[in-house]
Amino acid sequence: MHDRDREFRSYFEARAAVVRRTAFLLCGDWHRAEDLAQTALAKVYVHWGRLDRHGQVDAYVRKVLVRAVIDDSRWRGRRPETVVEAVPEVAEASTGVEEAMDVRRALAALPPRQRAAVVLRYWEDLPVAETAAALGCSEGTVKSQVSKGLDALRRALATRRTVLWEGS
Amino acid sequence: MSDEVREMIRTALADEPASGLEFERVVRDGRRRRARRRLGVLSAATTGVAAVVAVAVSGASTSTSAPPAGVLSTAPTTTVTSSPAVASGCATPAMTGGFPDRPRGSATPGELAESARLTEAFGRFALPLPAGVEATPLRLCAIDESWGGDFRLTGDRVVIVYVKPRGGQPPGECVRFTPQVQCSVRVLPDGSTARLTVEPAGETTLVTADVWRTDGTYAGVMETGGTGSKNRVLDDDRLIAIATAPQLRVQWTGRPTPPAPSDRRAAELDAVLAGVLPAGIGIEPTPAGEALDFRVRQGGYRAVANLVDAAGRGWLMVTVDEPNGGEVDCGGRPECRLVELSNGREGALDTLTAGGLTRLSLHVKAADGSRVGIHTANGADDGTGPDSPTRPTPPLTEADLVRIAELPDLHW
Repeated sequence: MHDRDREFRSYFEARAAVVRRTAFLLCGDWHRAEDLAQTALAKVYVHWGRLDRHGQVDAYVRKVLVRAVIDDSRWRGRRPETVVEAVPEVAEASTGVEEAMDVRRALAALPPRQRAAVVLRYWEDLPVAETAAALGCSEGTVKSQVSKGLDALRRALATRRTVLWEGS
Repeated sequence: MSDEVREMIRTALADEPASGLEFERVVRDGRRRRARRRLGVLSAATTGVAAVVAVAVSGASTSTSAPPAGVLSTAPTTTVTSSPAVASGCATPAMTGGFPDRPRGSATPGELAESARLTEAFGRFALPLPAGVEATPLRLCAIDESWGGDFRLTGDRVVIVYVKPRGGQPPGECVRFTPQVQCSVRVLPDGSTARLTVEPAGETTLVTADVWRTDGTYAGVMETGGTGSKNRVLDDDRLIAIATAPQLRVQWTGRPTPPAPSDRRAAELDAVLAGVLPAGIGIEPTPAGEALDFRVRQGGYRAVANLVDAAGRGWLMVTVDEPNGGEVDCGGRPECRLVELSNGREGALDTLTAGGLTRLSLHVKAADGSRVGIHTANGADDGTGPDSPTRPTPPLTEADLVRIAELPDLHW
């Protein structure tokens, strides 16, 4: 195997699952998430030398994912439908699937940029500046989007029997 | 609070299904993207993501281009049932790179039928392979009123085949993406025109035969390979023989197709831009050596340069993409507003500011429907694009962008 492929394989093995999960949180559908992740990783492969040299691989992946999800929502002019694989049994509410669906619905209800801001800040644990870079907006906009997004999530999940977090 | 939010988000992943991501598939996709990118025919940046509506295809397939089972099928719209012995229609997955068109990820019944017909017909074609070389089967899947797929050859080589209705497109001319590219055009005995492009440098040898056939089909056949794969398996005549195979004749009425981009037209566009910059602004080549000279990139024309004046260095990019319908608008983008051009057309002007970097982008449609983009930023391209400010404001103003957009000869 050539160096390029060997280096990229190391990255793939370490990060593919993470990329897929982030893609899922951004788009809300595992199948689309896999497509998004595949495309983002294939693009990383295309630019591997430059990205790796500048330490920009993760930032590039995030940009590709966010841009694709936001453009998708623009293109179709409506929020993408959320597809769930399985409808949970009512009696099995404690398995976590129902809770997962509640959170997914709440995330899916956010406008794409708000959702991306929340996911990048709190799931990817990115600083505001890097979130802004991924979203292509100012740091002030990120703060505003995160604040609105968290507020919307809190309201959406307020009727749940479990209080997920307190304060703001 | 952040840990609690993170835990809340984590619950959304509670029933995460097994991953279908495969290293080999990603690398194959990446190689195809690289190959197409280097030959400048990949459709413009695949930022959009079509809805993933896969086509369930039953029946065994051994093709390398077949979508992996279970990866894409979320809401099948069409099911094609066939016995393994008969080729079934298929749709290229939405995010697959490497073709001139962006795959929709779905296919109409007509496209599927044509996919099945082409695949079966090509299966009867006697591939002109050198002695000792074997090939995997080719499956031509629907892309977007076009069909494509690939097969592997002994020797770590891959052949990508793409066909579509010619749509009245005139024969293409040469494009030399790098000085090492060898290109020639020849007229075949039946009147079809073949263009052969060979890029011997780089990490792998790429060779493409594009044929504008007299039977109304355009066929592109590209042989490429893995990193370090320099030895061609198919010579020029064999590639052309595949591209002219009667079995690849597309039975489909296509949309009118504009001319393919060429070096000749790029040179004409250079003349259009000459003298367009305001007095006092000079051109400085980017690290890639681009100095506002149009080049064929990703299926369109692109001119890039760093601009220099007393305030410092900035950046300019002008793109011209083929006519494709649609209208310019702001699409609800808060950073965008419509501006009126003197000739009655409208343009969409985006002003993006982040981290001290300001970027103005004006998109207009030329009179022939070409899509023209003019972008300027207050950051110079020092190797990774304009990503940090190098001066207070962009070197060109909104009025400058409008003036460039109004150039009557700036079109496809």
